[in-house]
Amino acid sequence: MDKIISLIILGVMVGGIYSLIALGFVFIYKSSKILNLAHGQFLMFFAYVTYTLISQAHLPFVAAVIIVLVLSALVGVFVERFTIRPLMGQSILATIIMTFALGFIVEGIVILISKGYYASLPAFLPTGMWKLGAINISHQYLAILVLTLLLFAACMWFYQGSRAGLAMRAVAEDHITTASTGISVAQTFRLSWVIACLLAVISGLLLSSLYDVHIDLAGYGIAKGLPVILLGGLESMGGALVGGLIVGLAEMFGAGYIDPLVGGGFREVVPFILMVLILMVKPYGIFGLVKIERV
Amino acid sequence: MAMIPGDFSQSYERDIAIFRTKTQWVVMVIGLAIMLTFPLFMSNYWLSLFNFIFVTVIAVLGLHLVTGLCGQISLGQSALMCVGAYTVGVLSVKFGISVWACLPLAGLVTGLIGMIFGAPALRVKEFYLAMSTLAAQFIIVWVVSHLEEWTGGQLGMYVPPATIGGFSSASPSNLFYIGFILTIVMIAVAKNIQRTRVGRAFIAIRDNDIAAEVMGINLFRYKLLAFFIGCFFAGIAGWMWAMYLQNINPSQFTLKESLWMLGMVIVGGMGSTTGAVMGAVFVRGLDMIADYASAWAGTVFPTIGEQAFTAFSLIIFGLVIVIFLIYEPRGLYHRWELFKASYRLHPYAY
Repeated sequence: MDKIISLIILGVMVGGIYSLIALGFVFIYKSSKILNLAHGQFLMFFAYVTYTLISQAHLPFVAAVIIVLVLSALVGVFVERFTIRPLMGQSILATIIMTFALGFIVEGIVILISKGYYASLPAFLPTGMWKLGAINISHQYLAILVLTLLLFAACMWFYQGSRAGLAMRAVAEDHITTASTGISVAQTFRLSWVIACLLAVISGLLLSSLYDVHIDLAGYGIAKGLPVILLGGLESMGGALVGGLIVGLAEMFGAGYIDPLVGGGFREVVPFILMVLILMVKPYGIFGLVKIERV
Repeated sequence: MAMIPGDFSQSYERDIAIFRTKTQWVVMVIGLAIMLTFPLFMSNYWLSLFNFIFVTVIAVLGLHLVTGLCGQISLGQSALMCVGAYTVGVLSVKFGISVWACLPLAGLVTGLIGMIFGAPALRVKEFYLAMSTLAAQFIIVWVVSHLEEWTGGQLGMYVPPATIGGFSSASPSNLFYIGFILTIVMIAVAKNIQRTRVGRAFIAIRDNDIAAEVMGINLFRYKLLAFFIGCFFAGIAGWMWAMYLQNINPSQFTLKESLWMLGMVIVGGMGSTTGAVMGAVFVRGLDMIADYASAWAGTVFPTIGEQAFTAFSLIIFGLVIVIFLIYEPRGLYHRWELFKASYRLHPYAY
């Protein structure tokens, strides 16, 4: 029984992290129907830049974070203007490959600078543990979970309650109609990339408080973020949250009960198995918009 | 040149002919003959580079059929190569089947497995399908590295070379002949699939699948067929890969490799066999540039370390893809056609 409860708690905590990664994907997709497959790389890149600012330029943590946030907004503007906007009207394959290519470039730059060494940020979240019998609750994970929920709430409010969010939803629906109501499509695109990059900074920092900053961190984008959003539905914030929890729980139970049978490492494929299953059973995810095609 | 301005193709057969003029035949035969003499004077380094390019060309041709022609995005081509390579390994080492007999078997097994992961194509399109093939990439590599008693797990396995009498594929020059013939055959197959009923059905599905269905094309059949053929090519490429390295290992078949193949299809030009070949050769050529660039960077900035090659190849490849997508989305093939047209038409504009 203790095992089950601790697996559930661990699953929820890990799931929170996955939702956090998925949030950046959903944000861009909801406003521009583009899946930023380089999100993982961006996340790692910003975490690495923060590390460099702290260790090389000896800046205090808060100053470094502020500089990186400004930098990330610039990166968002740049990426949108020079790589995404020229692709408007091209096939979906073009945007998939484009974002992958961006990811390659960012990864190459980080490898060139870091030479593949592991780096770690100073601890900025509370460390420690609560022990309830055999169950451990880490403060760090708990803090990340709470921050994730807050971020989700903020993003949901942004989409539902703010004018800019409403403009983004309209742009995602139809460019021409939106433009004719006086909303600037280009500006909305730019804003959504800027916010997505800011989200990448925040999730990158939170992730790097748990794991070392390394190129492997980029892999989380594809290995964890994609299954989560497919499970939850590409357009749904709540879906990303639920999907993250499902993937987290499935991973923990897979690791707890199936790993001993197959000899370890089952955790890594669980998200993908879930992904294939959901694509076969309910292709547009749990909360996703079902696309209806009529002839 | 026989194709002067004003000389139009007057029959359908002539219009779709691969070689439209006698000159093209002559140039092609001479070119192939020259390539066949490469092992006589080239060093092993260049021969193995060519063998590597042969592997890539075959795999990219398969991807070209699935993605370029039929429009079904596949992000798992290198994992399917892995299936092909391990089919050869397991069948020849554990079951003692001749390596030559494994060649078609590798293609068939890979084709069947590819169909499983292509099956979601019947319900989902575009992005969602890409994700299901992405899952294939991870699941296949994980399964291969965990079936330890068959595949040797992470350590990989040894594959015996293909032999006939005294002729063994273990030396790069002999493998060059095998790879060369195999590549020519596969190019011919791909080109001819494209020119026949099946290829036209694929193109119809790519351009608009609802319209294609209304025209009487069985989407279910043709989409699965596209995956089968594409993965068959991947299986053949896997066989060639196993012969090329002799030691296969799950870590050789990464997502990055799959994406690079997709990049090659784009750089070469979607929907053209020539383009697929051009893209494969061009991107492998870029790898060599990255190799030289990192060697140069190593002498100029000694602190840069041995990761430089990885970094440079990632950056160069990424930049090339970005530039192609923005400035020439139709790829190298389109540029080549423009060049040919302007050459043929020269003093006139059209």
